[in-house]
Amino acid sequence: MTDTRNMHNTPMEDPIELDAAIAERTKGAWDALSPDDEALARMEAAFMAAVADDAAAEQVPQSGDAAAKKRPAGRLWSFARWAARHKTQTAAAAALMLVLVAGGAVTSMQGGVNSATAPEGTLEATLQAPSNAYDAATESSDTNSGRVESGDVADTAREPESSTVDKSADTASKATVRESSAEPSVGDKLVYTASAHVVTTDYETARATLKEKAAAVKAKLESENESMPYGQEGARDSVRPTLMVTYRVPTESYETFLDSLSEVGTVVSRTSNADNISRTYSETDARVRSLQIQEESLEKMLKKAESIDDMLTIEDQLQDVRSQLEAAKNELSRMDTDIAYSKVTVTLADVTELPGDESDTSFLAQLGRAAAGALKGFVELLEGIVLFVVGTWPLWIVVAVVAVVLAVRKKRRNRDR
Amino acid sequence: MDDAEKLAKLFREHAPSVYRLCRSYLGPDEAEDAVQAVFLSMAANPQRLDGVANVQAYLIRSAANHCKNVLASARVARRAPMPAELEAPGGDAGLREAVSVVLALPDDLKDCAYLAFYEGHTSAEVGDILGLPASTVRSRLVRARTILQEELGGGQR
Repeated sequence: MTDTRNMHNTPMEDPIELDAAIAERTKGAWDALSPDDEALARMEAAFMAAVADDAAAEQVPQSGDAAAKKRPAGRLWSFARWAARHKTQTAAAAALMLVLVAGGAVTSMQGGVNSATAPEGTLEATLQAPSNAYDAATESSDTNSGRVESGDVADTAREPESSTVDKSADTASKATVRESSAEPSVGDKLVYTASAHVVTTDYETARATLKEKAAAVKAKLESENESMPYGQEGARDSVRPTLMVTYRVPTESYETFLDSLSEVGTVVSRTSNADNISRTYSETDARVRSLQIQEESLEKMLKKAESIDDMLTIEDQLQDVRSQLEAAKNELSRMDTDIAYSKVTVTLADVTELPGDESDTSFLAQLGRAAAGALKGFVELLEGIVLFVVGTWPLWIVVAVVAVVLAVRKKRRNRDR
Repeated sequence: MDDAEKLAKLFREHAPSVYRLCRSYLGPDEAEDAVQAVFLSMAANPQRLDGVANVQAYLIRSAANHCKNVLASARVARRAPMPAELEAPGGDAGLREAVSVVLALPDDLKDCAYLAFYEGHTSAEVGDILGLPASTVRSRLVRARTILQEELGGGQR
Protein backbone atom coordinates (compact mmCIF):
# COMPACT_ATOMS: atom_id res chain seq x y z
CA MET A 1 0.00 0.00 0.00
CA THR A 2 2.73 2.39 1.05
CA ASP A 3 4.72 1.41 -2.01
CA THR A 4 1.86 2.16 -4.34
CA ARG A 5 1.49 5.61 -2.87
CA ASN A 6 5.19 6.34 -3.03
CA MET A 7 5.13 5.59 -6.73
CA HIS A 8 2.77 8.52 -7.14
CA ASN A 9 4.62 10.92 -4.94
CA THR A 10 5.65 13.24 -7.75
CA PRO A 11 4.19 15.16 -9.27
CA MET A 12 0.62 13.93 -8.65
CA GLU A 13 1.10 12.56 -5.18
CA ASP A 14 -1.78 11.65 -2.99
CA PRO A 15 -1.64 14.32 -0.36
CA ILE A 16 -3.58 12.73 2.43
CA GLU A 17 -0.71 11.31 4.40
CA LEU A 18 2.04 13.48 3.05
CA ASP A 19 0.33 16.68 3.95
CA ALA A 20 -0.43 15.91 7.52
CA ALA A 21 1.37 19.09 8.45
CA ILE A 22 -0.92 21.20 6.31
CA ALA A 23 -3.87 19.38 7.75
CA GLU A 24 -2.60 20.12 11.21
CA ARG A 25 -2.07 23.79 10.50
CA THR A 26 -5.43 24.32 8.86
CA LYS A 27 -7.34 22.25 11.39
CA GLY A 28 -7.53 25.18 13.77
CA ALA A 29 -8.84 27.37 10.97
CA TRP A 30 -11.63 24.96 10.08
CA ASP A 31 -12.41 24.54 13.76
CA ALA A 32 -12.72 28.29 14.06
CA LEU A 33 -15.34 28.19 11.34
CA SER A 34 -17.41 25.63 13.24
CA PRO A 35 -20.80 26.70 14.54
CA ASP A 36 -21.06 27.45 18.25
CA ASP A 37 -23.52 25.52 20.40
CA GLU A 38 -26.02 28.31 20.29
CA ALA A 39 -26.03 28.46 16.49
CA LEU A 40 -26.31 24.68 16.28
CA ALA A 41 -29.24 24.62 18.67
CA ARG A 42 -30.91 27.42 16.75
CA MET A 43 -30.45 25.67 13.41
CA GLU A 44 -31.65 22.36 14.79
CA ALA A 45 -34.74 23.91 16.33
CA ALA A 46 -35.57 25.65 13.06
CA PHE A 47 -35.00 22.49 11.09
CA MET A 48 -37.07 20.31 13.40
CA ALA A 49 -39.91 22.83 13.46
CA ALA A 50 -39.91 22.78 9.68
CA VAL A 51 -39.84 18.99 9.61
CA ALA A 52 -42.73 18.80 12.10
CA ASP A 53 -44.77 21.12 9.91
CA ASP A 54 -43.89 19.01 6.92
CA ALA A 55 -45.16 15.90 8.61
CA ALA A 56 -48.46 17.59 9.40
CA ALA A 57 -48.82 18.88 5.88
CA GLU A 58 -47.87 15.66 4.17
CA GLN A 59 -50.78 13.45 5.04
CA VAL A 60 -51.08 12.12 1.54
CA PRO A 61 -47.86 10.91 0.04
CA GLN A 62 -47.12 12.67 -3.20
CA SER A 63 -44.50 12.26 -5.78
CA GLY A 64 -42.93 13.98 -8.72
CA ASP A 65 -44.57 17.13 -9.93
CA ALA A 66 -47.48 16.92 -7.58
CA ALA A 67 -45.15 17.12 -4.59
CA ALA A 68 -43.31 20.00 -6.08
CA LYS A 69 -46.50 21.93 -6.64
CA LYS A 70 -47.73 21.47 -3.10
CA ARG A 71 -44.70 22.14 -0.95
CA PRO A 72 -44.92 21.11 2.67
CA ALA A 73 -45.97 24.02 4.80
CA GLY A 74 -42.95 23.44 7.04
CA ARG A 75 -40.64 24.83 4.45
CA LEU A 76 -42.49 28.09 4.70
CA TRP A 77 -41.39 28.73 8.23
CA SER A 78 -37.82 28.54 7.23
CA PHE A 79 -38.48 30.43 4.06
CA ALA A 80 -40.17 33.25 5.95
CA ARG A 81 -37.10 33.54 8.16
CA TRP A 82 -34.88 33.51 5.12
CA ALA A 83 -37.12 36.02 3.36
CA ALA A 84 -36.99 38.40 6.29
CA ARG A 85 -33.23 38.60 5.90
CA HIS A 86 -33.13 38.66 2.11
CA LYS A 87 -35.89 41.04 1.30
CA THR A 88 -34.85 42.04 -2.17
CA GLN A 89 -34.45 38.47 -3.37
CA THR A 90 -37.98 37.58 -2.51
CA ALA A 91 -39.60 40.84 -3.45
CA ALA A 92 -40.62 39.92 -6.96
CA ALA A 93 -41.68 36.42 -5.96
CA ALA A 94 -43.80 37.67 -3.08
CA ALA A 95 -45.36 40.36 -5.23
CA LEU A 96 -46.27 37.89 -7.92
CA MET A 97 -47.92 35.58 -5.49
CA LEU A 98 -49.93 38.37 -3.89
CA VAL A 99 -51.40 39.54 -7.16
CA LEU A 100 -52.16 35.99 -8.20
CA VAL A 101 -54.02 35.53 -4.92
CA ALA A 102 -55.80 38.85 -5.28
CA GLY A 103 -56.78 38.11 -8.82
CA GLY A 104 -58.51 34.92 -7.81
CA ALA A 105 -55.92 32.95 -9.67
CA VAL A 106 -55.20 30.72 -6.68
CA THR A 107 -57.21 27.91 -8.11
CA SER A 108 -55.29 27.94 -11.32
CA MET A 109 -51.86 28.00 -9.78
CA GLN A 110 -51.25 24.30 -10.14
CA GLY A 111 -49.05 24.66 -13.13
CA GLY A 112 -46.82 27.14 -11.32
CA VAL A 113 -46.17 30.71 -12.20
CA ASN A 114 -45.74 30.04 -15.85
CA SER A 115 -49.11 28.41 -16.12
CA ALA A 116 -51.02 29.37 -19.19
CA THR A 117 -53.99 29.96 -16.93
CA ALA A 118 -52.41 33.00 -15.35
CA PRO A 119 -54.01 35.83 -17.22
CA GLU A 120 -51.63 38.01 -19.17
CA GLY A 121 -53.04 41.20 -17.70
CA THR A 122 -52.59 39.96 -14.18
CA LEU A 123 -48.97 39.16 -14.72
CA GLU A 124 -48.26 42.54 -16.16
CA ALA A 125 -49.99 44.30 -13.32
CA THR A 126 -47.89 42.32 -10.90
CA LEU A 127 -44.69 43.33 -12.38
CA GLN A 128 -45.62 46.93 -12.48
CA ALA A 129 -46.40 47.27 -8.82
CA PRO A 130 -44.25 44.74 -7.08
CA SER A 131 -42.57 46.65 -4.32
CA ASN A 132 -45.79 47.73 -2.66
CA ALA A 133 -47.24 44.33 -3.14
CA TYR A 134 -44.14 42.88 -1.61
CA ASP A 135 -44.45 44.95 1.53
CA ALA A 136 -48.04 43.92 1.89
CA ALA A 137 -47.14 40.34 1.21
CA THR A 138 -44.46 40.13 3.84
CA GLU A 139 -46.74 41.71 6.39
CA SER A 140 -49.65 39.38 5.80
CA SER A 141 -47.55 36.27 5.95
CA ASP A 142 -50.41 33.90 6.59
CA THR A 143 -51.61 33.72 3.02
CA ASN A 144 -50.83 30.08 2.91
CA SER A 145 -51.15 29.16 -0.71
CA GLY A 146 -49.33 32.31 -1.67
CA ARG A 147 -46.41 31.44 0.48
CA VAL A 148 -46.25 28.03 -1.03
CA GLU A 149 -45.81 29.63 -4.38
CA SER A 150 -43.09 32.00 -3.32
CA GLY A 151 -41.29 29.19 -1.56
CA ASP A 152 -41.25 27.39 -4.83
CA VAL A 153 -39.84 30.31 -6.64
CA ALA A 154 -37.07 30.82 -4.15
CA ASP A 155 -36.23 27.15 -4.24
CA THR A 156 -35.79 27.33 -7.93
CA ALA A 157 -32.87 29.59 -7.34
CA ARG A 158 -31.48 27.75 -4.35
CA GLU A 159 -31.69 24.10 -5.24
CA PRO A 160 -28.28 22.72 -6.12
CA GLU A 161 -27.71 20.10 -8.77
CA SER A 162 -31.10 19.94 -10.28
CA SER A 163 -32.63 20.89 -13.55
CA THR A 164 -33.49 24.32 -12.22
CA VAL A 165 -31.05 26.10 -14.47
CA ASP A 166 -33.29 25.70 -17.45
CA LYS A 167 -36.33 26.29 -15.34
CA SER A 168 -35.09 29.58 -14.09
CA ALA A 169 -34.35 30.61 -17.62
CA ASP A 170 -37.52 29.53 -19.26
CA THR A 171 -40.35 28.47 -17.15
CA ALA A 172 -39.71 29.16 -13.52
CA SER A 173 -41.22 32.61 -13.58
CA LYS A 174 -40.54 36.17 -14.33
CA ALA A 175 -40.34 36.66 -10.62
CA THR A 176 -37.19 34.56 -10.42
CA VAL A 177 -35.71 36.44 -13.30
CA ARG A 178 -36.48 39.73 -11.64
CA GLU A 179 -35.02 38.43 -8.45
CA SER A 180 -31.58 38.46 -9.95
CA SER A 181 -31.59 42.14 -10.63
CA ALA A 182 -33.70 43.05 -7.62
CA GLU A 183 -35.33 45.61 -9.85
CA PRO A 184 -39.02 45.33 -9.36
CA SER A 185 -40.43 47.01 -12.42
CA VAL A 186 -40.59 46.25 -16.11
CA GLY A 187 -42.25 49.59 -16.66
CA ASP A 188 -40.47 52.12 -18.77
CA LYS A 189 -36.89 52.70 -17.77
CA LEU A 190 -36.48 56.44 -17.99
CA VAL A 191 -33.30 58.35 -17.48
CA TYR A 192 -33.81 62.01 -16.73
CA THR A 193 -31.19 64.68 -17.26
CA ALA A 194 -31.51 68.40 -16.83
CA SER A 195 -29.43 71.50 -16.89
CA ALA A 196 -30.19 74.96 -15.61
CA HIS A 197 -28.44 78.29 -15.82
CA VAL A 198 -29.00 80.43 -12.78
CA VAL A 199 -27.77 83.97 -12.26
CA THR A 200 -27.55 85.93 -9.05
CA THR A 201 -26.20 89.18 -7.68
CA ASP A 202 -25.35 87.60 -4.34
CA TYR A 203 -23.14 84.72 -5.31
CA GLU A 204 -22.15 83.46 -1.87
CA THR A 205 -25.74 83.25 -0.59
CA ALA A 206 -26.96 81.64 -3.79
CA ARG A 207 -24.18 79.10 -3.63
CA ALA A 208 -25.09 78.20 -0.05
CA THR A 209 -28.79 77.97 -0.94
CA LEU A 210 -28.01 75.66 -3.85
CA LYS A 211 -26.07 73.32 -1.58
CA GLU A 212 -28.90 73.43 0.92
CA LYS A 213 -31.49 72.55 -1.71
CA ALA A 214 -29.34 69.70 -2.97
CA ALA A 215 -28.90 68.34 0.54
CA ALA A 216 -32.65 68.59 1.15
CA VAL A 217 -33.40 66.13 -1.66
CA LYS A 218 -30.40 63.95 -0.75
CA ALA A 219 -28.68 64.68 -4.05
CA LYS A 220 -25.20 63.29 -4.52
CA LEU A 221 -22.49 65.54 -5.86
CA GLU A 222 -21.01 64.19 -9.06
CA SER A 223 -18.73 67.00 -10.15
CA GLU A 224 -18.08 70.60 -9.24
CA ASN A 225 -16.15 73.27 -11.05
CA GLU A 226 -15.83 76.75 -9.62
CA SER A 227 -13.91 79.75 -10.84
CA MET A 228 -13.34 82.65 -8.50
CA PRO A 229 -11.55 85.98 -8.90
CA TYR A 230 -8.27 85.89 -7.12
CA GLY A 231 -5.41 88.24 -6.43
CA GLN A 232 -5.35 91.94 -7.18
CA GLU A 233 -8.09 94.28 -6.22
CA GLY A 234 -10.75 94.78 -8.83
CA ALA A 235 -10.29 91.30 -10.22
CA ARG A 236 -13.95 90.68 -9.53
CA ASP A 237 -14.79 93.16 -12.25
CA SER A 238 -13.08 91.14 -14.94
CA VAL A 239 -13.61 87.63 -13.57
CA ARG A 240 -17.06 86.90 -12.22
CA PRO A 241 -17.46 83.92 -9.91
CA THR A 242 -19.16 81.00 -11.60
CA LEU A 243 -20.02 77.56 -10.40
CA MET A 244 -20.82 74.55 -12.51
CA VAL A 245 -22.04 71.65 -10.48
CA THR A 246 -23.54 68.30 -11.42
CA TYR A 247 -25.78 66.49 -8.99
CA ARG A 248 -27.30 63.04 -8.98
CA VAL A 249 -30.78 63.70 -7.70
CA PRO A 250 -33.05 60.83 -6.61
CA THR A 251 -35.53 60.62 -9.47
CA GLU A 252 -38.55 61.01 -7.21
CA SER A 253 -37.18 64.42 -6.12
CA TYR A 254 -36.10 65.48 -9.60
CA GLU A 255 -38.95 67.93 -10.23
CA THR A 256 -38.84 69.26 -6.69
CA PHE A 257 -35.17 70.03 -7.03
CA LEU A 258 -35.54 71.75 -10.40
CA ASP A 259 -38.39 73.85 -9.05
CA SER A 260 -36.39 74.80 -5.99
CA LEU A 261 -33.69 76.34 -8.20
CA SER A 262 -35.84 79.46 -8.52
CA GLU A 263 -35.12 80.06 -4.84
CA VAL A 264 -31.39 79.96 -5.54
CA GLY A 265 -31.42 82.77 -8.08
CA THR A 266 -32.95 83.79 -11.38
CA VAL A 267 -33.24 80.79 -13.66
CA VAL A 268 -32.44 82.12 -17.13
CA SER A 269 -32.58 78.81 -18.92
CA ARG A 270 -33.54 75.28 -18.11
CA THR A 271 -33.55 72.16 -20.24
CA SER A 272 -34.70 68.74 -19.22
CA ASN A 273 -34.56 65.52 -21.08
CA ALA A 274 -36.02 62.05 -20.55
CA ASP A 275 -34.44 59.11 -22.29
CA ASN A 276 -36.20 55.76 -22.47
CA ILE A 277 -33.62 52.99 -22.08
CA SER A 278 -36.10 50.13 -21.57
CA ARG A 279 -34.85 48.29 -24.61
CA THR A 280 -31.16 48.48 -23.79
CA TYR A 281 -31.99 47.57 -20.24
CA SER A 282 -33.96 44.48 -21.12
CA GLU A 283 -31.31 43.41 -23.61
CA THR A 284 -28.59 43.71 -21.00
CA ASP A 285 -30.78 41.95 -18.47
CA ALA A 286 -31.28 39.09 -20.93
CA ARG A 287 -27.56 38.98 -21.60
CA VAL A 288 -26.85 38.67 -17.88
CA ARG A 289 -29.27 35.78 -17.62
CA SER A 290 -27.90 33.98 -20.62
CA LEU A 291 -24.34 34.41 -19.36
CA GLN A 292 -25.38 33.08 -15.98
CA ILE A 293 -26.77 29.99 -17.64
CA GLN A 294 -23.58 29.59 -19.65
CA GLU A 295 -21.55 29.97 -16.50
CA GLU A 296 -23.53 27.33 -14.69
CA SER A 297 -23.32 24.83 -17.50
CA LEU A 298 -19.58 25.42 -17.83
CA GLU A 299 -19.25 24.86 -14.10
CA LYS A 300 -21.08 21.58 -14.49
CA MET A 301 -18.85 20.61 -17.39
CA LEU A 302 -15.83 21.53 -15.33
CA LYS A 303 -16.93 19.17 -12.60
CA LYS A 304 -17.23 16.36 -15.10
CA ALA A 305 -13.98 17.15 -16.92
CA GLU A 306 -11.63 14.21 -16.73
CA SER A 307 -8.39 15.50 -18.16
CA ILE A 308 -6.39 18.48 -17.07
CA ASP A 309 -6.46 19.76 -20.65
CA ASP A 310 -10.25 19.74 -20.66
CA MET A 311 -10.29 21.45 -17.31
CA LEU A 312 -7.97 24.20 -18.46
CA THR A 313 -9.96 24.79 -21.61
CA ILE A 314 -13.21 24.95 -19.70
CA GLU A 315 -11.65 27.17 -17.05
CA ASP A 316 -10.52 29.54 -19.78
CA GLN A 317 -14.00 29.73 -21.20
CA LEU A 318 -15.43 30.11 -17.74
CA GLN A 319 -13.09 32.99 -17.07
CA ASP A 320 -14.20 34.63 -20.28
CA VAL A 321 -17.88 34.15 -19.53
CA ARG A 322 -17.38 35.45 -16.01
CA SER A 323 -15.67 38.61 -17.17
CA GLN A 324 -18.44 39.23 -19.69
CA LEU A 325 -20.99 38.58 -16.97
CA GLU A 326 -19.26 41.00 -14.65
CA ALA A 327 -19.23 43.68 -17.35
CA ALA A 328 -22.90 43.14 -18.16
CA LYS A 329 -23.81 43.29 -14.49
CA ASN A 330 -21.86 46.50 -14.09
CA GLU A 331 -23.66 47.97 -17.06
CA LEU A 332 -26.97 46.96 -15.58
CA SER A 333 -26.10 48.49 -12.26
CA ARG A 334 -24.92 51.69 -13.97
CA MET A 335 -28.28 51.88 -15.75
CA ASP A 336 -30.03 51.25 -12.45
CA THR A 337 -28.15 54.18 -10.97
CA ASP A 338 -29.00 56.36 -13.95
CA ILE A 339 -32.65 55.48 -13.56
CA ALA A 340 -32.71 55.97 -9.82
CA TYR A 341 -30.62 59.15 -9.86
CA SER A 342 -31.25 61.86 -12.41
CA LYS A 343 -28.38 64.00 -13.54
CA VAL A 344 -28.87 67.72 -13.00
CA THR A 345 -26.22 70.22 -14.02
CA VAL A 346 -26.54 73.69 -12.57
CA THR A 347 -24.48 76.66 -13.70
CA LEU A 348 -24.55 79.47 -11.19
CA ALA A 349 -23.14 82.78 -12.36
CA ASP A 350 -22.58 86.00 -10.52
CA VAL A 351 -23.86 89.05 -12.42
CA THR A 352 -23.93 92.75 -11.62
CA GLU A 353 -27.50 93.12 -12.70
CA LEU A 354 -30.30 90.65 -13.00
CA PRO A 355 -32.09 90.37 -16.32
CA GLY A 356 -35.10 92.76 -16.19
CA ASP A 357 -38.70 91.87 -16.08
CA GLU A 358 -39.79 91.77 -19.70
CA SER A 359 -43.12 90.18 -19.20
CA ASP A 360 -45.01 93.43 -19.93
CA THR A 361 -45.22 93.69 -23.73
CA SER A 362 -47.41 96.81 -24.09
CA PHE A 363 -46.11 99.60 -26.38
CA LEU A 364 -45.58 102.05 -23.52
CA ALA A 365 -43.63 99.53 -21.53
CA GLN A 366 -41.48 98.68 -24.55
CA LEU A 367 -40.99 102.41 -25.25
CA GLY A 368 -39.93 102.93 -21.65
CA ARG A 369 -37.52 100.00 -21.87
CA ALA A 370 -36.11 101.32 -25.17
CA ALA A 371 -35.57 104.83 -23.73
CA ALA A 372 -34.01 103.44 -20.58
CA GLY A 373 -31.84 101.19 -22.70
CA ALA A 374 -30.70 104.08 -24.88
CA LEU A 375 -29.86 106.24 -21.88
CA LYS A 376 -28.02 103.40 -20.27
CA GLY A 377 -26.14 102.76 -23.50
CA PHE A 378 -25.16 106.44 -23.80
CA VAL A 379 -23.95 106.59 -20.21
CA GLU A 380 -21.98 103.42 -20.76
CA LEU A 381 -20.44 104.92 -23.92
CA LEU A 382 -19.36 108.04 -22.04
CA GLU A 383 -17.98 105.97 -19.24
CA GLY A 384 -16.13 103.93 -21.78
CA ILE A 385 -14.57 107.01 -23.40
CA VAL A 386 -13.46 108.43 -20.05
CA LEU A 387 -12.04 105.11 -19.03
CA PHE A 388 -10.23 104.83 -22.37
CA VAL A 389 -8.72 108.29 -22.05
CA VAL A 390 -7.63 107.77 -18.48
CA GLY A 391 -6.42 104.28 -19.22
CA THR A 392 -4.14 105.55 -22.04
CA TRP A 393 -2.76 108.77 -20.44
CA PRO A 394 0.91 108.33 -21.49
CA LEU A 395 -0.21 108.30 -25.11
CA TRP A 396 -2.04 111.61 -24.65
CA ILE A 397 1.10 113.22 -23.21
CA VAL A 398 3.06 112.13 -26.27
CA VAL A 399 0.28 113.42 -28.56
CA ALA A 400 0.20 116.73 -26.65
CA VAL A 401 4.00 117.16 -26.89
CA VAL A 402 3.95 116.39 -30.62
CA ALA A 403 1.04 118.80 -31.12
CA VAL A 404 2.85 121.58 -29.19
CA VAL A 405 6.07 121.04 -31.18
CA LEU A 406 4.18 121.10 -34.48
CA ALA A 407 2.25 124.20 -33.44
CA VAL A 408 5.48 126.02 -32.43
CA ARG A 409 7.19 125.12 -35.69
CA LYS A 410 4.18 126.27 -37.73
CA LYS A 411 4.15 129.58 -35.82
CA ARG A 412 7.91 130.14 -36.50
CA ARG A 413 7.46 129.34 -40.21
CA ASN A 414 4.65 131.90 -40.47
CA ARG A 415 6.80 134.49 -38.68
CA ASP A 416 9.79 133.83 -41.03
CA ARG A 417 7.59 134.51 -44.03
CA MET B 1 -37.22 5.35 15.31
CA ASP B 2 -39.59 7.52 13.30
CA ASP B 3 -38.66 9.81 10.46
CA ALA B 4 -38.40 12.95 12.57
CA GLU B 5 -36.02 11.30 14.98
CA LYS B 6 -33.97 9.96 12.12
CA LEU B 7 -33.74 13.42 10.62
CA ALA B 8 -32.83 14.95 13.97
CA LYS B 9 -30.08 12.40 14.37
CA LEU B 10 -28.78 13.09 10.89
CA PHE B 11 -28.88 16.81 11.55
CA ARG B 12 -26.94 16.56 14.80
CA GLU B 13 -24.43 14.26 13.20
CA HIS B 14 -23.74 16.23 10.04
CA ALA B 15 -24.78 19.84 10.63
CA PRO B 16 -21.44 20.95 12.12
CA SER B 17 -19.54 19.59 9.15
CA VAL B 18 -21.96 21.03 6.61
CA TYR B 19 -21.92 24.39 8.40
CA ARG B 20 -18.13 24.48 8.52
CA LEU B 21 -17.92 23.98 4.79
CA CYS B 22 -20.67 26.54 4.08
CA ARG B 23 -19.02 29.01 6.42
CA SER B 24 -15.80 28.82 4.40
CA TYR B 25 -17.79 30.13 1.41
CA LEU B 26 -20.31 32.44 3.04
CA GLY B 27 -20.90 34.73 6.00
CA PRO B 28 -22.34 33.29 9.24
CA ASP B 29 -25.98 34.15 8.47
CA GLU B 30 -25.82 32.91 4.91
CA ALA B 31 -24.07 29.74 6.10
CA GLU B 32 -26.93 29.06 8.53
CA ASP B 33 -29.40 29.56 5.72
CA ALA B 34 -27.39 27.25 3.50
CA VAL B 35 -27.43 24.52 6.19
CA GLN B 36 -31.19 24.89 6.48
CA ALA B 37 -31.62 24.74 2.72
CA VAL B 38 -29.46 21.63 2.39
CA PHE B 39 -31.17 19.71 5.18
CA LEU B 40 -34.65 20.83 4.18
CA SER B 41 -33.99 19.76 0.65
CA MET B 42 -32.97 16.36 1.99
CA ALA B 43 -36.04 16.17 4.24
CA ALA B 44 -38.37 17.22 1.44
CA ASN B 45 -37.12 14.50 -0.87
CA PRO B 46 -36.32 11.53 1.37
CA GLN B 47 -36.51 9.27 -1.67
CA ARG B 48 -33.30 10.89 -2.86
CA LEU B 49 -31.51 9.24 0.02
CA ASP B 50 -32.73 5.77 -0.92
CA GLY B 51 -29.92 5.16 -3.33
CA VAL B 52 -27.37 7.11 -1.35
CA ALA B 53 -24.99 4.97 0.62
CA ASN B 54 -23.12 7.87 2.16
CA VAL B 55 -25.42 10.54 3.56
CA GLN B 56 -22.52 12.77 4.50
CA ALA B 57 -21.31 12.69 0.91
CA TYR B 58 -24.74 13.72 -0.31
CA LEU B 59 -24.97 16.57 2.19
CA ILE B 60 -21.47 17.90 1.60
CA ARG B 61 -21.89 17.83 -2.15
CA SER B 62 -25.25 19.46 -1.92
CA ALA B 63 -23.83 22.13 0.44
CA ALA B 64 -20.86 22.87 -1.80
CA ASN B 65 -23.11 23.24 -4.83
CA HIS B 66 -25.52 25.37 -2.89
CA CYS B 67 -22.77 27.73 -1.73
CA LYS B 68 -21.34 28.04 -5.23
CA ASN B 69 -24.80 28.82 -6.58
CA VAL B 70 -25.30 31.49 -3.95
CA LEU B 71 -21.93 33.04 -4.76
CA ALA B 72 -22.57 32.82 -8.49
CA SER B 73 -25.80 34.72 -8.06
CA ALA B 74 -23.69 37.56 -6.64
CA ARG B 75 -26.30 38.53 -4.14
CA VAL B 76 -23.95 38.20 -1.20
CA ALA B 77 -20.55 39.63 -0.42
CA ARG B 78 -17.96 37.63 -2.30
CA ARG B 79 -15.65 36.95 0.59
CA ALA B 80 -16.70 35.04 3.64
CA PRO B 81 -15.82 37.30 6.58
CA MET B 82 -13.44 36.36 9.38
CA PRO B 83 -15.22 35.13 12.53
CA ALA B 84 -15.84 38.13 14.78
CA GLU B 85 -14.07 36.63 17.79
CA LEU B 86 -10.83 36.36 15.82
CA GLU B 87 -11.10 39.95 14.62
CA ALA B 88 -11.12 41.18 18.20
CA PRO B 89 -7.82 42.61 19.46
CA GLY B 90 -5.81 40.02 21.33
CA GLY B 91 -7.10 37.22 19.10
CA ASP B 92 -4.64 34.49 18.13
CA ALA B 93 -2.67 36.03 15.24
CA GLY B 94 -1.47 32.66 13.88
CA LEU B 95 -4.96 31.27 13.87
CA ARG B 96 -6.27 34.43 12.26
CA GLU B 97 -3.74 34.05 9.48
CA ALA B 98 -4.64 30.39 8.97
CA VAL B 99 -8.35 31.23 8.82
CA SER B 100 -7.79 34.03 6.34
CA VAL B 101 -5.75 31.72 4.12
CA VAL B 102 -8.48 29.07 4.21
CA LEU B 103 -11.17 31.67 3.48
CA ALA B 104 -9.13 33.03 0.59
CA LEU B 105 -8.82 29.65 -1.15
CA PRO B 106 -10.47 29.64 -4.59
CA ASP B 107 -14.05 28.37 -4.43
CA ASP B 108 -13.35 25.21 -6.40
CA LEU B 109 -10.58 24.19 -4.03
CA LYS B 110 -12.35 24.79 -0.74
CA ASP B 111 -14.54 21.70 -0.73
CA CYS B 112 -11.68 19.43 -1.82
CA ALA B 113 -9.31 20.94 0.74
CA TYR B 114 -11.90 20.65 3.48
CA LEU B 115 -12.64 17.01 2.80
CA ALA B 116 -9.01 16.02 2.32
CA PHE B 117 -7.21 18.08 4.93
CA TYR B 118 -9.84 18.38 7.61
CA GLU B 119 -12.08 15.38 7.22
CA GLY B 120 -9.13 13.20 6.25
CA HIS B 121 -10.57 11.60 3.13
CA THR B 122 -8.40 10.20 0.38
CA SER B 123 -8.56 11.83 -3.03
CA ALA B 124 -10.62 8.93 -4.35
CA GLU B 125 -13.11 9.38 -1.51
CA VAL B 126 -13.20 13.13 -2.09
CA GLY B 127 -13.92 12.40 -5.74
CA ASP B 128 -16.77 10.09 -4.77
CA ILE B 129 -18.24 12.62 -2.40
CA LEU B 130 -18.07 15.54 -4.80
CA GLY B 131 -18.81 13.52 -7.90
CA LEU B 132 -15.47 14.41 -9.46
CA PRO B 133 -12.86 12.19 -11.09
CA ALA B 134 -10.01 11.35 -8.72
CA SER B 135 -7.56 12.97 -11.14
CA THR B 136 -9.41 16.28 -10.93
CA VAL B 137 -9.43 16.06 -7.16
CA ARG B 138 -5.71 15.32 -7.12
CA SER B 139 -4.88 18.29 -9.32
CA ARG B 140 -7.08 20.54 -7.20
CA LEU B 141 -5.39 19.29 -4.07
CA VAL B 142 -2.01 20.02 -5.62
CA ARG B 143 -3.13 23.58 -6.20
CA ALA B 144 -4.65 23.87 -2.74
CA ARG B 145 -1.52 22.45 -1.15
CA THR B 146 0.70 24.86 -3.05
CA ILE B 147 -1.36 27.82 -1.94
CA LEU B 148 -1.57 26.66 1.67
CA GLN B 149 2.14 25.84 1.85
CA GLU B 150 3.09 29.20 0.37
CA GLU B 151 0.77 31.19 2.55
CA LEU B 152 1.38 29.26 5.73
CA GLY B 153 5.12 28.96 5.27
CA GLY B 154 5.57 25.34 4.38
CA GLY B 155 3.38 23.87 7.04
CA GLN B 156 6.11 23.44 9.67
CA ARG B 157 7.64 20.36 8.13
